[in-house]
Amino acid sequence: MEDTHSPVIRIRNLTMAYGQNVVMRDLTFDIHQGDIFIIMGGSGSGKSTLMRHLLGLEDPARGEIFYGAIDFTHSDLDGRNALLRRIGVMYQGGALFTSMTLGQNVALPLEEYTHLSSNQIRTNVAYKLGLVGLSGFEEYYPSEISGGMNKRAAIARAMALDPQFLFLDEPSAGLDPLTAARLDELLLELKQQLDCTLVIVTHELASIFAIGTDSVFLDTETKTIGAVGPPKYLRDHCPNPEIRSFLNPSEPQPQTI
Amino acid sequence: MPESTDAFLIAEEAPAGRLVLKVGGDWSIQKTLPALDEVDHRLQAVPPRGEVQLDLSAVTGWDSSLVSVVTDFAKKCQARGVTLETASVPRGIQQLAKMALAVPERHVEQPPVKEMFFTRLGKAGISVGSNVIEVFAFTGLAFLALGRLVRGRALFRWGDTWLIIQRVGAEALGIVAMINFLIGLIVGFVGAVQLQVFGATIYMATLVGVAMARELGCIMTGIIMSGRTGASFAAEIGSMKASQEIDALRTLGLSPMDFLVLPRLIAMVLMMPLLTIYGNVVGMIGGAVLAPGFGISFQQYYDQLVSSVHMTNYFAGVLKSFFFGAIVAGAGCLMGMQSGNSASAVGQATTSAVVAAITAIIALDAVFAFMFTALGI
Ligand SMILES: Nc1ncnc2c1ncn2[C@@H]1O[C@H](COP(=O)(O)OP(=O)(O)OP(=O)(O)O)[C@@H](O)[C@H]1O
Ligand SMILES: [Mg+2]
Repeated sequence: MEDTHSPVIRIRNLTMAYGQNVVMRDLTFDIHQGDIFIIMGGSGSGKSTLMRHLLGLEDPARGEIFYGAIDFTHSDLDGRNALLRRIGVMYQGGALFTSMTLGQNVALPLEEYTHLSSNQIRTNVAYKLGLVGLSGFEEYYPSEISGGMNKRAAIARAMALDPQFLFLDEPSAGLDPLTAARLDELLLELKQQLDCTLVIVTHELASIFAIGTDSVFLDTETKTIGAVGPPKYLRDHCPNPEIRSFLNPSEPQPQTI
Repeated sequence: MPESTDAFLIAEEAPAGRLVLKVGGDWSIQKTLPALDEVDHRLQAVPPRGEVQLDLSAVTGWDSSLVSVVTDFAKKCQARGVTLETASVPRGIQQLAKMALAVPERHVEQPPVKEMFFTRLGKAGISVGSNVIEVFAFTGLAFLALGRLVRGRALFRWGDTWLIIQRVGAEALGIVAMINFLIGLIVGFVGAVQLQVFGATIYMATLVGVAMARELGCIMTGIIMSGRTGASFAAEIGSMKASQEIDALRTLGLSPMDFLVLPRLIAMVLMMPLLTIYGNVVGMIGGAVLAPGFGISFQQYYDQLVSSVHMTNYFAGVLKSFFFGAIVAGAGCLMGMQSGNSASAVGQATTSAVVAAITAIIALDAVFAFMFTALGI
């Protein structure tokens, strides 16, 4: 809605498919600097798939993705890797390296891409684990902590390099309401302090309205964008009643049968 | 009404083209239920905009077996524009059926079709072709990664490599020793029995020495390592793929090739020759154990071994073992990287890693045998 900030990620006519099976077609939208951008949609609509495309893990069937002026879809491996260093990712299942401790997981990107001393790295890792409420868990292996703790540790790893873009796939799913709210607070704080852009896949209405500044809704029926706009605006003014009721479950459902 | 009668389902023609479906008895998933084909048939015969009455007044008990049937009727009537009159259907069944019908069926694109024999054959042929291409592509990528390592540009961790070297080398000593010892013993025994006929039992030392040094030492070690280490590489990397750890590496800008494959490849290529030499020695000892039984002293066995087994035999075995090491690590890593995202896919990857490695080792050994003969080695 507001045009004070410039688009940093531009998605143009993106069609995503696994083999012959088209997941979504013709997606065109912008993500702006400093946004907390929410990707919404029903289960199986292609939210994780969209995230994988934005990260270059899948190649688009058609269309392009731009980061600033960089054509991400057509850049070579070095170009992509240079960009990926400015991106932190948390996957739906956490995807921590199971053969490493939490501390080593968070330290890995720092060891590979910075010239910090081991002491500085240790301090930094302790701070990042502290941010997600896991201080003191450096020596634990991912298999020794709970699913929700795995997720939080994965967020700490995603933040390791103070990224410019942070992608999170369902960060608060499986967390208790209190921890989820704390996480929202943390994400908001991060965005404000570090001025990074967040792209979040989530169903949690509370967190969508608490932190989301802009959003896209993927419609399973039409296999394309259902709506783009700030979540609160979509809830009140979206012409599509399905999306309104998705965002506002107390509103009467559109009758099926 | 009698308690707990058998479930029944009868279709009755009523005036004005109406169909009445009389349902009754005790519908339980644990009991025998009436067949549906007859009623389905009658249902199909109802003209569009016709009317069907569902009469459940005689039902004495029900569970999902009845709800599923009612849902099915409702779906079929809906699809054909037939009105289904459900006044006598208990509220509970109505609610559950409504829930089941609430979300319209997803239109699935391209249902899997049953393929003809020749189509399958052709596809199998194509997939063999693309597998070969992938093997070459993987080999190329491995060499590129090696090049980056040499130029100091690879994101490579010596720490990981040392750990893997320990795992594939030191920890394999026991099993390599046992198998090679037994192989040496068997070859020695079979050989000695045959040679006894000619009174030439002393040549059992030569037989064991040449066989172990040239062929059996490196082949047996290769097979042991593909079962032990190749399989574990495939399982390890495959499950990393299933849990998105490989994706996480990629988005950290860390090439899985540099980070996972290179250390394993280097560890195997370094350790395989050492294990082979060790296996050779143990195998020759295995042969020696039997020597006194055939009237040969250890000293004689040793002298014969040293004088008759040429250095070239050892050289041939060790040379091959470098390649076998690369095959074991390569097959394990490649199958792991290609694995699907499920537990069963990881199992398959492990199996194919072992099968591919053993096949490739034997095939390559044949090629080497041919080349050595041609070169007169
Ligand atoms: N590796 C794959 N191969 C083939 N099809 C896939 C693959 N991954 C996902 N799909 C298909 O793509 C579609 C979108 O999947 P995706 O994981 O993106 O959904 P999602 O929106 O993230 O759902 P959820 O909210 O349940 O996580 C699904 O219909 C799924 O069947
Ligand atoms: Mg998902």
